[in-house]
Amino acid sequence: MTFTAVGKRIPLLDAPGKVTGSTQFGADIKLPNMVFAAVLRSPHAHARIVRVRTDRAEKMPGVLAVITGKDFAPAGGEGVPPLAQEKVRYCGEAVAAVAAERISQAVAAAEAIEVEYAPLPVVADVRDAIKRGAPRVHAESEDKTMPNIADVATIKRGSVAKGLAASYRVFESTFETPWVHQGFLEPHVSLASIDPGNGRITIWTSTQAQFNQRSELARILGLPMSRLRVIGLPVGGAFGGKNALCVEPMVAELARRCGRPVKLVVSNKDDFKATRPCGAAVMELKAGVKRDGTFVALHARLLFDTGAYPGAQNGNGASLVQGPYRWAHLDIRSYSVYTNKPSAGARRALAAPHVHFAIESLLDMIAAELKVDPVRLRLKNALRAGDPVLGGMGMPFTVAAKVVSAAAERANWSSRKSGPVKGTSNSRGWGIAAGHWATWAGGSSATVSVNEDGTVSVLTGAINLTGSHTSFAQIAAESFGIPVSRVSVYQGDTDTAPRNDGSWNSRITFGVGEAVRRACEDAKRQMAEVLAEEFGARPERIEIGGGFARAAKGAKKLTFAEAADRATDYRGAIVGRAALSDLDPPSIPVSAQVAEVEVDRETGQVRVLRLVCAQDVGLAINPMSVEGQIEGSASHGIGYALSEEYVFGSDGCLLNDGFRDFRMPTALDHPEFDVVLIEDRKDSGPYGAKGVGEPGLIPTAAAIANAIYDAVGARCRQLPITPERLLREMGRVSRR
Amino acid sequence: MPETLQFDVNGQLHELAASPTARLVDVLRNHLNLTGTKEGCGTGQCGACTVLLDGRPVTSCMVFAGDAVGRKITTIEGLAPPGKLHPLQQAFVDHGAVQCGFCTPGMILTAKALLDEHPSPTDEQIRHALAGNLCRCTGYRKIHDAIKAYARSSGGRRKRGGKR
Repeated sequence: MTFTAVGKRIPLLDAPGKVTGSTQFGADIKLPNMVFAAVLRSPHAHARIVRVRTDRAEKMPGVLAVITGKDFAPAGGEGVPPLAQEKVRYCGEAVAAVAAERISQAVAAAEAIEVEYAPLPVVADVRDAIKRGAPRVHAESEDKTMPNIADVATIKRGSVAKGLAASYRVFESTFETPWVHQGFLEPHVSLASIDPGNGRITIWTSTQAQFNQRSELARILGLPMSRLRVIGLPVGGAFGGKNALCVEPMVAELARRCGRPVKLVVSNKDDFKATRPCGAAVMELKAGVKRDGTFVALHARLLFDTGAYPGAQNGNGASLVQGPYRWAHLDIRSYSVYTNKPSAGARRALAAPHVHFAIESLLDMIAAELKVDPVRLRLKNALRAGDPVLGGMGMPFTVAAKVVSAAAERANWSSRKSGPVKGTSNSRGWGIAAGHWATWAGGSSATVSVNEDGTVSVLTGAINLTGSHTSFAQIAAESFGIPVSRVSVYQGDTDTAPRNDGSWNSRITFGVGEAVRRACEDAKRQMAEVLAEEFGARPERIEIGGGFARAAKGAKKLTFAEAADRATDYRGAIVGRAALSDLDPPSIPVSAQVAEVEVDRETGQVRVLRLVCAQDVGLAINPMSVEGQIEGSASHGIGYALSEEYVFGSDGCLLNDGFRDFRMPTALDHPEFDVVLIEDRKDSGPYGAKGVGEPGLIPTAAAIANAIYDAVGARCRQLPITPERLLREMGRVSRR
Repeated sequence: MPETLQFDVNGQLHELAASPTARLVDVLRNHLNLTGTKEGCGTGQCGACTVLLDGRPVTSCMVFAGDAVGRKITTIEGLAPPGKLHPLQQAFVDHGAVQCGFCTPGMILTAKALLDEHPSPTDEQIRHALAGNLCRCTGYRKIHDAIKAYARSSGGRRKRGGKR
């Protein structure tokens, strides 16, 4: 099948607004009569709130409203209260909020609120948190023998005990990944206003999930959804960090109390401390293999640090820790553990980067020990169609080996050269790692209107994080056989668009894109019914495409614009609709990356020279955009591998709360990227497309760690691989 | 305390009441409504609020308004007339150098300053120039490509112009 619109490299439709700065982000919005909010946050990681006195703050100039945890219904056991109730569970937790005429007045009043705390013992580490007798972050635990367990996920297949007993060798190791920020540049920002006539509240917010926001807000504010309108704004980066509610309940409640629009832009410091970063993990793996390198059994105990409230992705970690490989026996226990750290949230590809760092590092240790080439070891054990994945379902396609081979071939793996670089203190090394991911369509819907001039308008409730609107335009253009320039795409809000799940899980082009395609087909059917009379043919014989509408065997034809005019005139309107909640099979993309690094043996500094990124994308609807997703993901992975990490003090408070001390990759750090797209066009997404936004981050850290091992023979089991950690592993500085 | 200050922004003089210790980013965004300048971290680390001061890139969250008086301020709004794109902006669009768009205005102004000084920059010059502007979406490669492509095409134009 040859395509006319999908599969083409086209610039993002919304790029002109972004290069001119005219795109209005939340901070750019000014509402008439608007006032400003400020938040008071806890200086303690764990403390009982004895007393909160707001009377002094309330009397300060410009102050219109002050709220505390008591102004919201009790959050209950594991719920996240918008403002702390009874106790604070992490340093930075919001305790009170103020609305005032000016920002400076709001900040001053927030500081004037008097809170008396009774400090409690701090649980800072997952390993300590699960010990008998550890202080409890929440009273309840999901495990009878261990405290502080928020959730347990288990996967069992076959008998790991038998599998390990029958193995030629058993490899055992523990891996650790840090707390990290998602790295979005645009701070969380929300505005709320109340219509005094009917009490209806409108919220403008930088979110990945406006419909989920509305349902959560309805519950927290005790309002029916019909009295809430959530308008998702252009998002200046999210990467999972804008999945969950943030300050929306506070601004809504403040707006309700003072009867004026309220705006809150979260500071960079607070964004780091208190807006759901990605939690740490400790991963204990044990793998049994045959003499020829065939994988037999995998045992894993995974501890995901969820911080103060539930949110860690232990279930996702359990389902993906096997890597894109076949194992006869699995025994996975994956825990979400409470600590007095920030409340954990999602990050691009959830727990996949954690668990793939662990399993892919272990695979490299197996390859080295058995003296098998790391690529061959992976090819030998790669998932094939029908193999169990994700805790039970069958892998839909045989693609994993193809992706690993593609990465190795593009990188020229077989003729790689590693070792010392003459005349320097540097050594080069190569590493490979693979990863897999799962994208479900989720609640996806779209409306497509055909206008009487033959242009088409697509409306969805999906938040357009980057390229999805452009993909939708390409899909609609392909379906109708018209140029992309004839299609406009709109993001509606919770009042104007049909329900949609959030922009996460790489699902928008996959699921909502398919809804757009089906809505276009629906619109074409409606047009065909009208045109059937015109052409004297049955509706199913009417073909719409290539800029025309015609009857299959007739000589008569109309241009698409003429056909659109007739159809809309006759029918009143042509509006195609589609909604779906599932696509079968889900998209299970595989990615593989080869990293070439240079390590300075004296300083421990690592530079990534080249990163070959192969990814199974089904069909790249817009290859330029897909490359951008993969390079951006891999760059994110470079930071995860080498430099990004939350550092906490012994009091449980974050020390590096901002971009200054949380080191994300800069333009100086980007390697030569080489992206290889594997397109089988077999997937259930539109025209065979898969989800592409996350798999590029999944293998990166492991590929780099494996390359470092190849360069200097030191195995770092803890991310990030800072110069200090690497020199310690190399034995060049002593261990603590 | 507010004083009457005069700012030369994008070739236009603006007189307004502002404190000399106000931040330049606030003067631009709040007083002059030039919201093309985005504020990310507020600590001079992310580069999103970059504007040009006498042609040099500065993070406007770290500049006192008083220090910008009497100097030429260029914001993203000053790069091309409304409805038009500067060829450098067009290069960012064409090369997929834009994703979420939050770093983009600052990134483009940083690149503009580099290209004004070095019309045909080396890869190293590009990397160093952009080092103060964070982008989490792109991995920087396509931004780098856009700047190279613009330099090649505008360099060509300049050469042809030189022969005339």
